[in-house]
Amino acid sequence: MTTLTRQDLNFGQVVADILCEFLEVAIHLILYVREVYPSGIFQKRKKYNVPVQMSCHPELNQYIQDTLHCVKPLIEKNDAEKVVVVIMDKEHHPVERFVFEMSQPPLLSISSDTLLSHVEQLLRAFILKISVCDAVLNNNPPGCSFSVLVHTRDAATRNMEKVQVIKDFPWIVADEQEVHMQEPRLIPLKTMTSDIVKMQLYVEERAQKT
Amino acid sequence: MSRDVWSKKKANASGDNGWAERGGYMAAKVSKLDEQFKLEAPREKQKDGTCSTIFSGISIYVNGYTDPSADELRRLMMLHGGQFHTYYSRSKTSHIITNNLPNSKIKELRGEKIVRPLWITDSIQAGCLLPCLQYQLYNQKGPLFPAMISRQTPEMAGPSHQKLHLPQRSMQRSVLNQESQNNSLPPPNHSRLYPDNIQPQSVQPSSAARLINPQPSHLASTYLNTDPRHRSPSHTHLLSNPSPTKPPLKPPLSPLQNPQANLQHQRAGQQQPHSNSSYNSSCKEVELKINGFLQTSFDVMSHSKLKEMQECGKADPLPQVVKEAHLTNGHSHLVNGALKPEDLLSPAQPSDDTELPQRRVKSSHDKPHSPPGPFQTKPDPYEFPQSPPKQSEQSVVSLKQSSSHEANEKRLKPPPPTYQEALKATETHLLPKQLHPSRPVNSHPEKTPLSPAHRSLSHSPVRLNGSHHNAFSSASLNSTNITSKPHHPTEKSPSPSKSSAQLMAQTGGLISEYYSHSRLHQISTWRSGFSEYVNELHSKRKAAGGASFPGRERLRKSVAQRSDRGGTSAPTSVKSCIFHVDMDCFFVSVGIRHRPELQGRPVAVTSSRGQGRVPLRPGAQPQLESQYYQRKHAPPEMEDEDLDRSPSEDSPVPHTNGVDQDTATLSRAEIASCSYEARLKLLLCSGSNILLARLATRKAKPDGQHLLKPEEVDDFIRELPVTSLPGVGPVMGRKLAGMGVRSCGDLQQVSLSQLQKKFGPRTGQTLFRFCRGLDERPVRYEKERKSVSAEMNYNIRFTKVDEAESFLNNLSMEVQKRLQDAGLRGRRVTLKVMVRKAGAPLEPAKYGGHGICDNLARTVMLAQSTDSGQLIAAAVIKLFHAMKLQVQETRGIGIQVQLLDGHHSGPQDSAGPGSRSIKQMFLRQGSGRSRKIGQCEVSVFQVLSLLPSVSSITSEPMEEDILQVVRFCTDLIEDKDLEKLDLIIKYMKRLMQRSLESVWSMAFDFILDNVQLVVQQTYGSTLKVA
Repeated sequence: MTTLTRQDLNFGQVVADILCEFLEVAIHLILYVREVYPSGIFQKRKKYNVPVQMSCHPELNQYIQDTLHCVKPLIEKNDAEKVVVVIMDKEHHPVERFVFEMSQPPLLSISSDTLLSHVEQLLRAFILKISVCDAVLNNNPPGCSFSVLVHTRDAATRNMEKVQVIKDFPWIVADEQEVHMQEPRLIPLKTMTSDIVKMQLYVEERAQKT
Repeated sequence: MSRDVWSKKKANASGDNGWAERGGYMAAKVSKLDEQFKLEAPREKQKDGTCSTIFSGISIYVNGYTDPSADELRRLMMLHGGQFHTYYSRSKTSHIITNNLPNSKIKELRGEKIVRPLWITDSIQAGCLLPCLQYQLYNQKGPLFPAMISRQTPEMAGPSHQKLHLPQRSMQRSVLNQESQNNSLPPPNHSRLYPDNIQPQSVQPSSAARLINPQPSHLASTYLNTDPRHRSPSHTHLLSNPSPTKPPLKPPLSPLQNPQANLQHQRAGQQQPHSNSSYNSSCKEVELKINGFLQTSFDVMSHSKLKEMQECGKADPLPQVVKEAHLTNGHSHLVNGALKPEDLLSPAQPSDDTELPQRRVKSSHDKPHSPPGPFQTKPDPYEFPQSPPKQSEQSVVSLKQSSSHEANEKRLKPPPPTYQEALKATETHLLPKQLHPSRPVNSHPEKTPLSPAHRSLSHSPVRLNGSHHNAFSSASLNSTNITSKPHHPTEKSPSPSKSSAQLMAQTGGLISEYYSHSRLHQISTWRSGFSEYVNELHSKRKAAGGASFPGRERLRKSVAQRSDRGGTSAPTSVKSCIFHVDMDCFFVSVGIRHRPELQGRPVAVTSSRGQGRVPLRPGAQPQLESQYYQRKHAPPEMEDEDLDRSPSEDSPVPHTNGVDQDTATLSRAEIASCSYEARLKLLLCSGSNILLARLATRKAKPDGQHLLKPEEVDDFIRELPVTSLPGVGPVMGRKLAGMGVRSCGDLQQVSLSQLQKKFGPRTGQTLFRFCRGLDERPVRYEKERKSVSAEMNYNIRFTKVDEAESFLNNLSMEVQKRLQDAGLRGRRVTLKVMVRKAGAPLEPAKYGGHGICDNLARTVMLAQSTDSGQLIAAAVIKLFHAMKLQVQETRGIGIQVQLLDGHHSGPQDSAGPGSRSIKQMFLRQGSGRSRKIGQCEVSVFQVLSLLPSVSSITSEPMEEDILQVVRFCTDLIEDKDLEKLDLIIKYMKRLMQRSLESVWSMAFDFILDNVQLVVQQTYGSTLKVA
């Protein structure tokens, strides 16, 4: 990582970069841990100094990348309130929702020299937490799929309609059934508070999965 | 026989197990019996010659032993055209012939005609069918009021009374019965009896109807008219108050019917909730309530109705009405509250009427304790003659209604009488004053004559029942009435708006009443009083240098003289000797103190009957007691032995060279001389330690003394059964018996380690020592008081939360009084509540008792020691609400204050280092909480690290702390820090699970519920707590 100086960097962009990078790792890991895809398509990699699993299925990787690419501008403007990885069963009813709830402090400042390494530590904790989250969650039914939802703040969606970051990859309004879950139970996984972002991850799990 | 008869029969009859299977055998048998009867009848008639048809259409069923016998009755029925049923059938049997019926049967058969066999024989003699009214078996009250019954049975017992009552009662009943037969259901009669119920304005025959009524009304009116002037002094000076003009006819109109009217509404509510226009709302409410209850409540209602009919004129119509409604469903206030103001008049008016007979009885017979007997007969005439009463009842009610309609707004209704007031003569005297402020408010002249009546009525229940019990329930009832009708002025409070003040006053009266009557309370207060007295004497002695006991000197001198005279007895070498003085049969001894004629005869001490004697006894005893205590201190260092049987040490004796039998005799004589006035039985036993002194008691019984010499100790103790050791109760006794240990000798064979293994280290050790006669406990003079409490579990029947609150307030005041008397302050306040156990009967066997209950307790730590009743009350009321109880189910309430410290040790600083409550911790922690990285983490782990120590130290959670935790948690949610929240919740959960006390887990549940609520609001889902 290069040294950051205040002058030449858009802080929002930096934060968005960091978060999107993290989200990519996290999504891959979630898909692996929650066994949405067979473990065969995953490879072990190292990120944040911890082993993670990453899919090597090109289409899946592309989808994730594209999605996050579209999320990034939102995060940059602090418009994304939540990024949700929804795991759905065959009937497309959500069984689990991994909710990354994020907010940026109104004034971004990168004051501390150790900031980034500190953030890295915090993100590592997230990753580690995700990798063991199967311990607190019930097994998912077979044949699950996933999707990524973004909860935006205010009217950010309007801008998203206008500006398509990636052609032919527009955002669509999520179905009610994807968002709402029957008898959700909330399992907090991790919270971080740093100077650049405050983020917490929790899982909403459907009480009856099968 | 139709089937339904048999299904009914199955439900009714007892002992037909398996017989009443669907038609079948029984049906066949019954029809066969009927046939036989029919066949036999003509033959029988021929044989006897005399026959008639006087009983045609009547079918009887004989229950139990009768005279003439069932067979004879059967024959008579054959002869005289009646039917005889061997098996009871509700639909076919018209009369039940019996001499007496158990309560359950009465309940079951309510609404049936239950007649004594005399009716049949008399009818035959008269040659025509006599009305069965005269012969109806007197039906006592509903089975749910055993106390009432038992209380009244003595009154009934007298044969003369019985004769007096029976006809009238049966009359009344018959009215009921006839009605009920018409309608086939027991209660519906009211629609007929009181048509005004349905058409309130229909009939207005005015008071004439009543006055037409032969002598009874005549009596009544004269009495009523002269009434105000006849009242007792306490009343007359009330009458001199403002508006003494009294409409002469008004009271006579309404009085008797009121309870009925009152009940009627309930009835009507049950029966035809919608038919009734003006009462619709009230009826519905009542119905709701009534239906919400079980069959029993219905039964009770009908019983109460019956009773009402029978005893309407009796002692206290109102209390009964209200009480029963109260007892039945606990919603009586609704009934009252729903009734229109005109009904509210009713509670007040009967008093006027009932008071009369009572007064009459009192004046004529002049025996205040036995009014019920003659008394019952008096009011009866009002309803007794059959047709007139109906009319008059109608007229009464309707007139009352119409009149009250107009006076509706203006008139402020007098409340139902408060009985607790009646109990205290002093209070009754106060009443006029209390009433006074309310006077200007009610301009209606009618009010004035009524109010004295209350008071006079308020006397009656007490006298009648010979106990104060009535007063309690009715007192609590009154408060209900009052609260439900806030516009209602009470005797107690000047302005109607001050209902809470009234409540306070009411329940306060209740409490003081309770304590003034509670024997246990008397005992315990004496005890604490005298232990204080003893302590005082001790401290005086210490101050005086120790040698100020004349008795000790005397004793010493006499011992010295003895040894001078030649030392007849060689002084045994006892190092010290402990005297255990036991006042044997203390209460009896005191009781027969001034009744030498009872000496040597069996004496039983009972609870006081009637209010008169209670103040008398405690009055007599303190003086006696203090005499006793003063003199008792002749032998020094005596503890107060009488009530708690604690041993006492006699230190000077060892000083004077040991004890021997003679010394013991001497000192006994000494003590006996001081208890001479008391003429109490005295046991004196001495041993070398407390244990032995106490154990030797049995050797000294009765009225003797025993010196346990050291050499005798071993033999003595070996023979003792283990259960005689202090601390060995039935449970441990059984355990020991399981080990094959029965006597202390056996116990001596058991090794210490074995005992400790079985009973724990301390108990084992104690047992090990005790069975060898070893006891090293010192004799204590001052027993430190651990707690101050006030508890009341008699006659607690709340109907509203307000009542409970005001009761708690008052009880707290009582606690405050006690705390201040003892000069103590306490920090920990425990609220004990007895709640009716689910499934337990609504009313226990003991009247007003608490019955089978669940005992609940909640404790709160106050910020600092207090003796303020308000603080305690506030804490306790919070606790009470936190318990989320149904006030109706509450049967007992107690407040206990612990962690006492005297006044001298100033109030503890709650913020001091010594206090460790969760609140403090959170406050500290909360202040440290900030957004900065690191610190936040620390704060959470602070919480986590502090929690265990807190929960292990503070034995009870405090409400404030819990709220603080909740607040902290909700803050976390708002901060979007679910992880921390989760950590805390999980950690707390683990802690609470580990802690044995359920209060903690309840506290945790409370926290969790609140947190989940907020999480739900914020995230739309609830936290998963594994």
